[in-house]
Amino acid sequence: VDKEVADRSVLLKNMLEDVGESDKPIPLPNVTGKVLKKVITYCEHHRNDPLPQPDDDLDDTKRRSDDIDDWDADFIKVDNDQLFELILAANYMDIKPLLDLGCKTVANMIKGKTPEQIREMFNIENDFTPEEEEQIRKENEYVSLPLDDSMMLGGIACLLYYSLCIANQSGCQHYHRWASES
Amino acid sequence: MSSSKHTQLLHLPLETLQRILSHLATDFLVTLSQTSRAARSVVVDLPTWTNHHLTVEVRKLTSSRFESAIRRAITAPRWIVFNNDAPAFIRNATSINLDRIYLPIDVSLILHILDTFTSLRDASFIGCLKSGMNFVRAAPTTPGRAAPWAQHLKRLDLSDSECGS
Repeated sequence: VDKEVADRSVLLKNMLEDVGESDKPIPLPNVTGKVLKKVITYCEHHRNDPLPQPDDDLDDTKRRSDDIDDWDADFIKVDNDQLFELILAANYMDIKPLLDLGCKTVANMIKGKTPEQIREMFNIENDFTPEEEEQIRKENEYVSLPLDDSMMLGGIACLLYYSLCIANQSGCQHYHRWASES
Repeated sequence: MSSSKHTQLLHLPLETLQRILSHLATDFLVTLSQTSRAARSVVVDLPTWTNHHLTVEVRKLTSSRFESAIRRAITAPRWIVFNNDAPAFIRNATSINLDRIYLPIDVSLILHILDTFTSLRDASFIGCLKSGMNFVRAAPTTPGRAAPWAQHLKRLDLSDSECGS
């Protein structure tokens, strides 16, 4: 692998700097050959991209998950096992753009799904107790109430809670008014 | 993509899992929290709740779906994360991003949000420019309207960049 490609991984870049000019192989015990091959494909395609900056995480626009380009979207079309292995490899090898790609892909898989669909997709066992299920049902019932019912319940909640609110917490009053109206 | 019994989202390292969840709007986080106790625990313990970016993302859908998503984003975290402590929720919501494309955002909704979440430092309403213009017209007509939220607000984005009108 070219040094330019290897340098996409901060882990490899640091290791290469440490060993200097050497033919010794660099061990990557946490990455399987199949996943490493996929990682190299990614790094080769992105070899000329600007390297991520340390303060990139502070950029709000990076939270978007709909900015995946066509090549990346095609590259990441793998089964869930491989997707998680790629995420773990990117994390271990410190390849931030690949880690972001994997994380955005998983986030996109969750978006718009019901709890049951998410459970099925990621083999999550529903281990809520009947009491917890009831609580969730109530939460969902409240947020999907017709406007009039919601206003009534919100009004009752507001009256009960209002006595506990300190007068200068104007946001609280607004919140209850709005929560009940919406 | 197919699912397999080896796939365990919730077994990913916590930092990685939190990175994934940072891409989810508030209402999707709420949905995830309703899948299992472990998922609920991960969502509730997200460090972002201490400086929460309230986001609602419903694209190319109806106004009622959008309104429902907002209601969910506004009310569910109060119960799930803040034990029904509305003032705490309000204090923690420092950024809001309503990301709805191709549908106008009602200016009264924008004003409601700003009046309610008085700790907001950043507010972004991606929609149609018309709302932004209405906001400019409506906001100054009410004396003192800007006072509660102007205290912390550093950025108010009423851009129309993706609307194309």
